[in-house]
Amino acid sequence: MTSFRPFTPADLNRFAKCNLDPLTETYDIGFYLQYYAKWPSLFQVAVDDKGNILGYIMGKTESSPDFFKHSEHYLPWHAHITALTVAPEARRLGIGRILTEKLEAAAEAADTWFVDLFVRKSNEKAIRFYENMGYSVYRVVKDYYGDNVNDPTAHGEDAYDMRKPMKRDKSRKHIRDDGRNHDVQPEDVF
Amino acid sequence: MAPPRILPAPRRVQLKHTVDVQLDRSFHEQQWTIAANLARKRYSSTKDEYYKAVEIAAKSRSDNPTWLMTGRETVQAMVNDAVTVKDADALDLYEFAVDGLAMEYAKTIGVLRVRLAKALPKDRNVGLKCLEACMWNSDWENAQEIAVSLNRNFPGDRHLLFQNIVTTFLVAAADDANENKKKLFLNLAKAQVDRAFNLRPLTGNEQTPPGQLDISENEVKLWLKIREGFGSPQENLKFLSLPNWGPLFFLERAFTDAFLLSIRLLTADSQWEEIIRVVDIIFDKVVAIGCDITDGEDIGDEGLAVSRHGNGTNPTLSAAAERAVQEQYMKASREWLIWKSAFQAARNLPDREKALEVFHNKIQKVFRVHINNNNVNPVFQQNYDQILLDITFARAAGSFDGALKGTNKIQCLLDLAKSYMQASSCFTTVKGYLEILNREDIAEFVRALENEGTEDTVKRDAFDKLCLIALRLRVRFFQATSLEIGEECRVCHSIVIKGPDCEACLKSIAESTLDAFSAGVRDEDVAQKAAGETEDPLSNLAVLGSICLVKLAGAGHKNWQHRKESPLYHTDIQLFLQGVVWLDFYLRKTPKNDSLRMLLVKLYLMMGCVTRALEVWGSFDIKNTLLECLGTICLDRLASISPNHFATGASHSRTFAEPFLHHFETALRKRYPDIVTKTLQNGSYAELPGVIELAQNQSRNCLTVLAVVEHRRGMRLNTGRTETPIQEELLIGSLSPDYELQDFTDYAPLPRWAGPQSTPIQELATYGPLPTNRRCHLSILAERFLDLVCYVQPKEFKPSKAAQLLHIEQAAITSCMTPHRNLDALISGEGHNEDDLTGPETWYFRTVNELSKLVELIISTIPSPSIAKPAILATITRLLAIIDQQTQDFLAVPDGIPARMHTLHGVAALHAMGMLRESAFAVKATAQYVSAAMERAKAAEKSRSANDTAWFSTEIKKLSLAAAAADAQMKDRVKKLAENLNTSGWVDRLGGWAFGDNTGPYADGAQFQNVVAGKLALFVPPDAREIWAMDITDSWRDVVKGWGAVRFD
Repeated sequence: MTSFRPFTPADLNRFAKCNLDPLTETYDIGFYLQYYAKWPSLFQVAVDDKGNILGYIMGKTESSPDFFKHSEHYLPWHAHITALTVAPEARRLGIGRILTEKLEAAAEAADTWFVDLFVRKSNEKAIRFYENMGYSVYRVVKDYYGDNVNDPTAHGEDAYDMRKPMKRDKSRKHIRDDGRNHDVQPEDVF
Repeated sequence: MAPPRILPAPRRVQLKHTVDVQLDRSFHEQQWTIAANLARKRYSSTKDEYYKAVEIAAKSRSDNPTWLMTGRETVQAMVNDAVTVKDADALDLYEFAVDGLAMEYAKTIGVLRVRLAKALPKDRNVGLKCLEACMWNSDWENAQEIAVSLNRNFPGDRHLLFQNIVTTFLVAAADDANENKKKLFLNLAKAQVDRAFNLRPLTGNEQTPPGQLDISENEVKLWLKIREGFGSPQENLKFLSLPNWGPLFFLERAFTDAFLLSIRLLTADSQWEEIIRVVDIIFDKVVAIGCDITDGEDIGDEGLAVSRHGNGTNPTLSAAAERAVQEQYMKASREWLIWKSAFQAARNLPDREKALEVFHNKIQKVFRVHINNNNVNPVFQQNYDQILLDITFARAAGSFDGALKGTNKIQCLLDLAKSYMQASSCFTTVKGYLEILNREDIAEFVRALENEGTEDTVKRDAFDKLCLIALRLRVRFFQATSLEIGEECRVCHSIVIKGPDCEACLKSIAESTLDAFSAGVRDEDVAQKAAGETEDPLSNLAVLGSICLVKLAGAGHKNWQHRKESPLYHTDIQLFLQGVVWLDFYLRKTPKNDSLRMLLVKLYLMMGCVTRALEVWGSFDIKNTLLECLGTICLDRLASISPNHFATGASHSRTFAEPFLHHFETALRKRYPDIVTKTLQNGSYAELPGVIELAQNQSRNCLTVLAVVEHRRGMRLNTGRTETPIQEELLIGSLSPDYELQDFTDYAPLPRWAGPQSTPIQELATYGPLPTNRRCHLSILAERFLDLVCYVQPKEFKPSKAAQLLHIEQAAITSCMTPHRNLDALISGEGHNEDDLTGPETWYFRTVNELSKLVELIISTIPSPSIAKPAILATITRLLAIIDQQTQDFLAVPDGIPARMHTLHGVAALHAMGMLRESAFAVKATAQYVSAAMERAKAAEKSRSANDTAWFSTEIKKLSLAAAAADAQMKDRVKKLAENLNTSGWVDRLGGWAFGDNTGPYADGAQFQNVVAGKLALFVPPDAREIWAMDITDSWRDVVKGWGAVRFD
């Protein structure tokens, strides 16, 4: 059985199944707790019947600072997916989708304009997953990642900034159909 | 909810912007003397008290010993004289001045914080700053007083109201609060939080929560948290059933977390009827929505208590809002927690059978709605199948018509197993049901699975077949490890000799896994499919087969003999190596399986292959937060096995333990207090207890102690000394012996397939028993003792009289004797057995215990130790015997093994060598310490004849000689190991031990070993065997080379 619930700090002791996966980054404890302290409803976990964490999503709500307001890259009030991971053994069960839906529900409750995330341009699986969930590429952040998983000689890899509009954005003004044609530099990204 | 044991780091202080550049720079560049002088001058010219605070802060931080206590004295005087510091920035400086001194925050700075907040009641910022400071320092009581003041002075501020409530809750939940105070504060917390939602009227009896438009989910979660902690079930039910409140109210407002928490509260309170009522409403609503969508058939209400439309929802809602509410109901009806709570409730109702039947019917209808809605994904389907099985099991137990008994139960479990056999969670799920089946049923299930394997095989491809075999063999393994001594195994019908394992079945399972693995690993299609699937049956087979072999080899510390020498002393080396080579072979082929890698790390450590073990461990890239939950698996006892990994050098700038120390120090001293304040600032009130509990658990984690002890032990073995006195170790310096420690390691990455009574793999494949409270405290007390006997008086210390030094020494010993009595109590006290220590550890702690007795006897009687001569002689005799026995255990090698196999047992006994070296070190240091003390005593009292203490010198010398003899044996062992390992032929030798005919040493199981060797040889090619053997040899050479650098003098 798999159940879903908000993250609790005790979960940090049970997330080995997720974080032993080399593609999942393990951060300093303060990083997780900061999300828990500030955005508890945007930090959700999937748990098996032994209490092991099978997946988690971690997000935040924010907007660009006021001094950025007149910039073309200004980000209005939105939710951001910082991390989404599912243990290898629990993949292809729809856990990632449910976790994302839960974060989106929290983003709706916080009256955000959209939910966004960054994904490696080469991560086709993840891009397909998000596209199936209603996300689309808003812009391409050039060399956002310091390394390139497919080409070690390259000095970085582009990221897709993907977005899904929330109910507040009735006119879809924060979404683009041709986002893949809009390049920005990492320093333009808040 | 007591504050964590480890004090926080000081908060950063910034001087006011009005401070001149010169003073500001000197202060922040930590030029304390200059800063103090400048601040004094500024104070004399401005008479601004702030500069006084700057001066005191600077003085307290300076190296000048006459200034060090300035802050402490000033603060204590202000507390005693009822002074109120009315400048928040100045108070920050006083707080900074006393940081690190043994002053209780709550009784000093905390008191000043309250005085300040109350003196400036209308200054919100000052109040919040003081509140934050108290929270940073886990001073709940003063924080609560400040929060009360803020709430009173800003009555319309809901955030301040909830800060008041949550701090009151923390005081009530504090472990150290007395009962009356606890009761007072918990009643206060309940009353405050109830009133915050108008649930508890100030007058009259009416309870009518209004529309509650302005409430937030965070606030509701705090209400639930307080109710969960302190509310009576009746009271909680009364509130949760109120109109405009309770689970459905939360659900409709999209307070999903609060909704789930409220169901959890009802479940914890066993409010079964209310749960059924709430879940009925949700299910009925969903079924009704389903009818609307399909515009269709009447699904029927099965005695539902509510009508088709609008159950629990507000009839005045707009269409959009109604749709949003419907969406919430749809989501809730998919939650596992809701299903499980309703199932549990139905099981506990008086008419259980009927209630389960109704629940069964309803959940089927709800599921149909979701199917019609295309709303069923695999995880939802899996949960649904499992809840149906739960219902079947529950109904079968109480069935009167016989229709749901036995066979049906097994058939349903079989169906579930077949449906999900490709899922990694399949066996774990099945195991949950096996644990509640009786032995006949388990055996029946094993047979059913066997038949399944032989029937309709045509439909399955090779990969599926292998998945089924891996599942079937794990189920057999569970059955074969769930027995009792003397019991007849219901599968193979042999009598169990060593409970709870059936040896015949283990052999048969090992052979079957070898056959299946052998066939699978050579099948290209299987290997290809395994790489792309979440479940890898080949890996499961390799792990299962290896566990069987390791079990059959006799590994496992619960064997009493095992504790005495090395973990492999009584182990059948051939079977053990066969298990290792199998895992290693598959790891090199497909390196992704976590269970396999983790198990291999443990097995390699057992056989002294530290380099290879750490290479596999390194492939996990375990760092940061993961260190905390998994670190013990590799770190425990490592310093005694391979001290070289605890030395720094050109290739490694940090010792193996340093990342652990860094993690815990940062987490507890910096991250924790920072997060506590952030949680409060952000209004995440209900999350605060979780943060505090995490820090408490980190403080109680055995790993915090092990990391420090391993680090010190490694340093000592390498350099003959430690750098930091134990009381200055941030993580354990102030740890008292009655503080309960706990092993928080997450062993989940290791396979857990055996029966509940069988030794879990983390205890089977290990160098010794898992960490315990007792072992950790013994280790700390031993470190304290070593600090005492290794203490060297600073050269600057020049007593005016020699007698003065003696008195100081005696006073120091007296103050140190309490820990040593604790050591004695832990070693010899009632209720302690030695199951949590390895044999070498037992000898070491006994040695330290006897040495501490000896020191006490000598120092308390010098300059005339003859008074205590009989006791001293007896203690020394005991010590000599212990050292001799520990040395003999270390040197012991099993009988009848080939000479070259002595090397294997030698490297497997490195922990014994590490602990013997620790014992020898302690004995030598003590001998030097008491001899030096005696010399000083004699110098102080020259009248005494030296002959009076001649016997003493002779006896102490015996100790030194015994320690030197042990050292010589160890040096000789290291030399021999190095010589043997540097000879050629190890590749063939190791290959021979694993694959050859070793009937000599292990005649008992020779036939089986040969069968295993033959089957292994079918898939482990000669070149793979060679690489494996070369890695083992290199690894042993490395570790022995590291021992060459250990100081033995």
